[in-house]
Amino acid sequence: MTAALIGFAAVLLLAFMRMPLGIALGLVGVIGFGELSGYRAAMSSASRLVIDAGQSYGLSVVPLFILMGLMVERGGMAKELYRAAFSFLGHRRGGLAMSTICACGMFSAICGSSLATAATMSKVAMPEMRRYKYSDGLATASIAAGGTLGILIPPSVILVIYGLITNASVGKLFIAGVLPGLIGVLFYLMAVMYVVSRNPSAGPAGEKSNWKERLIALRDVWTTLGLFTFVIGGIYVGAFTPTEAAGMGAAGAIAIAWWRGALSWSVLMDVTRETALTTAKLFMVVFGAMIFSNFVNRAGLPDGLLSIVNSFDVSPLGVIFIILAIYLVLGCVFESLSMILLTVPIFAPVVEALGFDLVWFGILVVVATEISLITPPIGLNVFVLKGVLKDVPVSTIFKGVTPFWIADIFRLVLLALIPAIALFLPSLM
Amino acid sequence: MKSFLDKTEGLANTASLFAANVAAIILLILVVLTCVDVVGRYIFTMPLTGAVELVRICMAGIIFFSFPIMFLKGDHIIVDLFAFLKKGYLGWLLAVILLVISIGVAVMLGDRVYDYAIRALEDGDTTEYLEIPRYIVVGFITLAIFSAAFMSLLRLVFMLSTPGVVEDDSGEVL
Repeated sequence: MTAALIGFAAVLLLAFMRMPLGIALGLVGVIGFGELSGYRAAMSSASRLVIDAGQSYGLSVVPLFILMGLMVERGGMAKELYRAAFSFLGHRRGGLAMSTICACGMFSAICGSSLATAATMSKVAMPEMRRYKYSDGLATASIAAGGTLGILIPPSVILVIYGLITNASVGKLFIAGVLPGLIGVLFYLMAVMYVVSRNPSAGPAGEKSNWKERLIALRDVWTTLGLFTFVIGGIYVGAFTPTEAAGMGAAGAIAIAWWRGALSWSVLMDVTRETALTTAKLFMVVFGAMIFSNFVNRAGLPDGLLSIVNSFDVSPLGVIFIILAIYLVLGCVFESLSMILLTVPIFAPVVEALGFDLVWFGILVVVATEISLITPPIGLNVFVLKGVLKDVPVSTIFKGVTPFWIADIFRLVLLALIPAIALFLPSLM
Repeated sequence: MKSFLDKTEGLANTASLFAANVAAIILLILVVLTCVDVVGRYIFTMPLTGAVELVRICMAGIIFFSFPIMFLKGDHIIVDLFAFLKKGYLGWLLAVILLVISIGVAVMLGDRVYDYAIRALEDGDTTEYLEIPRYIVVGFITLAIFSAAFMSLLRLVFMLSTPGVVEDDSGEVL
């Protein structure tokens, strides 16, 4: 166990020195495994992992869902989602921020990335909120927080990778993310209401749309919502495996973008090239994480942790809360994928041995990771917004995000105490 | 010397962009493949034979054809916490050391994967349904890993030619 802890510290050191995370994980994994079992075995195991994971059928959903999300982003569908949400909520106090949250939720349903959701929605929602003189704090915070829903509401690239590490069913993980995602939307709406109840000038009401306008706005989003229903519904009823659903979803997104006139050959090549490169970058980290995970298991860290847990008089749920607290702390310095790849191989065996469901734990981990995206000092969604809105200070965004952060903590506690929220829908599959 | 380096950089850019375009086309093939399989199964009750094997091969193509551009541009997932570690001479020195380590890791890994490719060739190992020789894919993975090492080496040479200058993955000087 000491070897694993030294290895963990070495990875952190190398990562902070800006070594590519995948290489840092792989290097430490090989050296650690080599010291324990010989370098020939370590290199053989590492190369076997690269060959196998590089041809993984289960992970083929990753490029397909990334492609689907990028196509939807380029297809300009975010604007229509926002308009539809605005037609129903815009006339309320804080209504534009609420519309942003709902549009983020809907956009997340077809895009598995939080950063892409935040970046896209910032371009769509921010000009409108500025037009209605929303405070920068509320406007930017609603986008940064709403964007975090991208990795929970299916499809989610992070859930796919969690599924690979833990052997949990990706289909069940996707379905388990639906209700917690909707609760996330609800809690964020409550956070907006709280902000405008304290400071009404932070979110003035917009114009009220009549039912004709609402129906027109809804008509514009049917393709996007239809795509989500087709993909996730297909997985839910067992018509598709996640890979097949992802393939059909990507094809559907390409078809919609083409139908809307947003697709040329150069755009298609640009998007597919970007998807392939993003996939390769993710896989570099996946390779490294698997090699590191091999070493950690060989060094007996999960067993060691379990015996420490058993030696203390802590209830199993208490252990879960300790793990979640660790995630919140790590979230201050790590981005989402790195955090999951580093920690899940260590915590998942402990959680499973304590008798918990790994699908439920996956949802908890992803919600904790979502929180990290808006936690100082490196909350990535905040910095994505800062990149787009250069005139808004980071401190304003972090300050505005606080009510949403608290709402997230409530949601995390609720999900930990009532596992049925995550597990009810998968239990019907 | 500078014009030679510029020409080499231009060639490396072209080659890696070509490989990235191949990865993009393989991704489109993967989309078509999964759709044909689903439509064939549900409408014509005739799924595509060996679809899983083809998907696995496509995955290798998408990932490993993207390696040259990723390593040439140094476009990796990095924990970007300390800004001072990426600027000036300290950033340059760290980047050089990390590149040397990365090249070493890639060469050692490529060497071992190459052994597996040779073993697959000698054993006549093939995929289950389509009987595609496995050494082709494993050999390609070997080549991709060595090309990643080569691209990193080029990046190292370019860095050594401009002491103290660090560029990000978009080519912008930090």
